[in-house]
Amino acid sequence: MMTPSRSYYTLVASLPLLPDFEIAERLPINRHRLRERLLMLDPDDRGVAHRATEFLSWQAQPIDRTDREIVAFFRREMMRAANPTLRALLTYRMERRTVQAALRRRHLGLPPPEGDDWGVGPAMRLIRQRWSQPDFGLGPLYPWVPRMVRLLDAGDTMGLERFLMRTVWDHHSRMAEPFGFRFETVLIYLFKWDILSRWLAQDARQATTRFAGLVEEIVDAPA
Amino acid sequence: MTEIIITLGWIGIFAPLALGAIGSIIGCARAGQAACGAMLETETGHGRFVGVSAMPSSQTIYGIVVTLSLNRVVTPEAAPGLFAIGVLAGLAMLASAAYQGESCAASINVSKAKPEVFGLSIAPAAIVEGFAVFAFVFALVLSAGIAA
Repeated sequence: MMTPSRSYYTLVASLPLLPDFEIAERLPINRHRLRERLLMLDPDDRGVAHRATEFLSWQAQPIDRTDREIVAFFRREMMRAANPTLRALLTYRMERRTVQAALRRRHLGLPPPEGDDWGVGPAMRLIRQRWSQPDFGLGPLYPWVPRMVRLLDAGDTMGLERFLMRTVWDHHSRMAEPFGFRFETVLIYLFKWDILSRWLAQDARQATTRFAGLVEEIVDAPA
Repeated sequence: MTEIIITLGWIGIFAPLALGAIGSIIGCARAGQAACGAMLETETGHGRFVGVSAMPSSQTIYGIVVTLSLNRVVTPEAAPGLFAIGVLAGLAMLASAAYQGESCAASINVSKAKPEVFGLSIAPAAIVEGFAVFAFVFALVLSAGIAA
């Protein structure tokens, strides 16, 4: 029998509203303060939240990993994660990653992946069977796939990144709606905070590159 | 058998107050916790958070009034009516206070980020209160028909 999750009125009310990632200028709460707030969680839930943050930071590390390593990590996490919302979030992220990786692979002109440990989810079989179809026949299951294909073909890297983040952000926002002050709200907040944090970091990197370019232009300009 | 009926009558007399108080405890605790959380994120407006978090206390007051109106010598003839009106009114007040606490907590949570919606955001809590008022008024009206 599934035990109902705990409610955290103080914690949820103490978390600042996350602005939409596209209009946010800065994080409304920094990592340190967020960690402090999570101390209000019951020890069991704190463990689940810790697992979620571990997954998010692992996923964000820019280390080259093989598909096999990623899938192995996911399976290990799924064995450890008993919370159904955490499982749903991990599955959602990894299934998306599988489809996105396959689309990018085909875009690079590579053949379909072989074996069973290159991804997760029900899409794997369809991807292999329908490799030549533009959306692998996954449009009804994942409505974001056809647009991703168009953006990939157009070479619009920034637009693609924005679109993918938008779909994940909206998915998580919808997912959080029924939970009110329950633990699931905190968990989904962590995932959304991670999207916002990564988006802003990316924005900062782009701004730095642009600034460096402008400086170069000015320095190199004839007097 | 008579003793059981008399006991049920006494339960009916005290139920509105006891159940209303239980609801208020739950509701005020939920909204109060949200108020404390919101204080961590805001610099001003703390007073109104605390004010909103006290909204679910009114059900205890309704319970006191219904209990006083039901209070009489408990006879086997009066006991069924006392039990039915008292327990059902009490349950309505319990649910109203507990869920009003949720509404108040939500109101506090949204108005910490958007103070301008504070007034509107407590409307759902006021609507929930309205149902407790219906139960309260009709309990008073019907209690007049119970044998004294």
